[in-house]
Amino acid sequence: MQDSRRRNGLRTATWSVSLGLVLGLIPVIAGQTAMAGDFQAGMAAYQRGDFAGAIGEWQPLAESGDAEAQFNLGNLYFSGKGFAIDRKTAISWWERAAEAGLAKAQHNLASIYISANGETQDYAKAVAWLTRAAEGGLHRSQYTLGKMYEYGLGVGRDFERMAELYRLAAEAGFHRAQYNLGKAYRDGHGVDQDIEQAAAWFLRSARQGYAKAQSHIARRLAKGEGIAPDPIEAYKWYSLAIAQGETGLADSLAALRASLSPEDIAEAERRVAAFQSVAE
Amino acid sequence: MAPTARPTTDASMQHPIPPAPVAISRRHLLATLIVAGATGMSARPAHAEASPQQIEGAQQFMQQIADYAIQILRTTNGTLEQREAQFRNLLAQGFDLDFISRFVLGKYWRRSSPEEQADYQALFREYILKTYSRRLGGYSGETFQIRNARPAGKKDVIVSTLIVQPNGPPIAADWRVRVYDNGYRIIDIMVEGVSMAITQRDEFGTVVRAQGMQGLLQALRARTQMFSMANK
Repeated sequence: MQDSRRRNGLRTATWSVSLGLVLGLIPVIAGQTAMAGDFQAGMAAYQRGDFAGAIGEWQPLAESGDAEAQFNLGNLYFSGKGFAIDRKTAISWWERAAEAGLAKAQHNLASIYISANGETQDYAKAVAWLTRAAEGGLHRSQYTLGKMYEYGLGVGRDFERMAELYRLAAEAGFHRAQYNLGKAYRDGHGVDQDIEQAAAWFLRSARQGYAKAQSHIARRLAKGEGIAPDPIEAYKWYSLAIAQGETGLADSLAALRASLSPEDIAEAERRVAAFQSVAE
Repeated sequence: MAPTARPTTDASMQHPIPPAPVAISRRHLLATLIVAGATGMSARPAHAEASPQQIEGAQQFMQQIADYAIQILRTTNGTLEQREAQFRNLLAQGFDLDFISRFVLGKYWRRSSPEEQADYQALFREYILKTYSRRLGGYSGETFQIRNARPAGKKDVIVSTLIVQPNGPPIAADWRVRVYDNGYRIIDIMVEGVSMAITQRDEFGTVVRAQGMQGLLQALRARTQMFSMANK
């Protein structure tokens, strides 16, 4: 809805430029288009690392109510790109974009309310914005809100709500939510305990390259817990998790290694080398 | 990061909360005392500290890191996200993030459950890599000069460097490099005498006291899950 309106707006602007040329009002129109800012030109400047150029394009758009430009400007203030770091100004731009309904801005705003210190820290506000962004379909927001319910941050602890939120994002393919839904099944939190479902979700997340899920599925494949035992696959997933920096797995891998034939180890190593994560 | 435009700003970037200005002088003093303590240790017998070869090696290691970092910073082709990913790989190889993460959590490390520790280490790693690499861009010709290197403690080398900015005063950055059997890893940076690791430990301690361990984990999670630029 909003996007098509904006595109129509741009088309109208293009028309008035042509009309202006015809009417000989070039200096007036040129002044106006320069003031209006060009969103894509701002993005190109940003990608080059030219932050002043990006600000030049996005600032006027943001001031005239463009939510994406407001959001991006907030990001520049937040990370100190082209400006000195200024969290307050970042928050005020994100607030404007969030009020206008931009889900990414709602999510970032919530992230600040979670992670800021002192007066700005506010779990209740974070939950409110995350709820809106989650309803808007953002998987990261569904997952982050799930964590708020899991640990009772700004809301009462509620495992059922937690599991619902993880499921929304997990089924849509978000690897962190898949891993966490696997844990919910493992522990029977908000769902009936089901070690086969747990293993299935760990595996789905592991295939996407999520290190923690790789270590969990490795252990289950080694023990045959909720999934048919497969020491070669267990070896593969342990190795992949360790390569990504997961700690405390070396002993398990060594034990597995001692139990496997040289051929099996060679096969497992071959699978490790050939592994490519597949994002859903 | 030394090779980025404003390392002093970087220091505040890696904290959930920018340090309060009043606290700086106290931290500065603390860091100065610790550096003085480390210098005092260099009076130990030769075998109890890094060898001349290791000191030379640590210096070369820092030079390689800086050369590669500046190479990434100078590049303007590809997307900024791609260059940030290259920078993250460099950081992951150059820093001993497992060691730093445990140090930074301080006494709360051993008070945490194994699952909390695992969650924390994974999140800390992501958080640091993301936060530092986000500082990319806006490179304006800063250069990195190695001044000297000296042993610190039993197995560390402090490499003193100067980041020379074309439009501003030079910044002194000391890199504490740990010598391992299989190479070198950075374990702390002291910017103008202030230890990043100690500053970060103060910040994390504040969060854990106010919000508990799950509050710290959720803060790190929130920071690593934020959205970057929106396009249309």
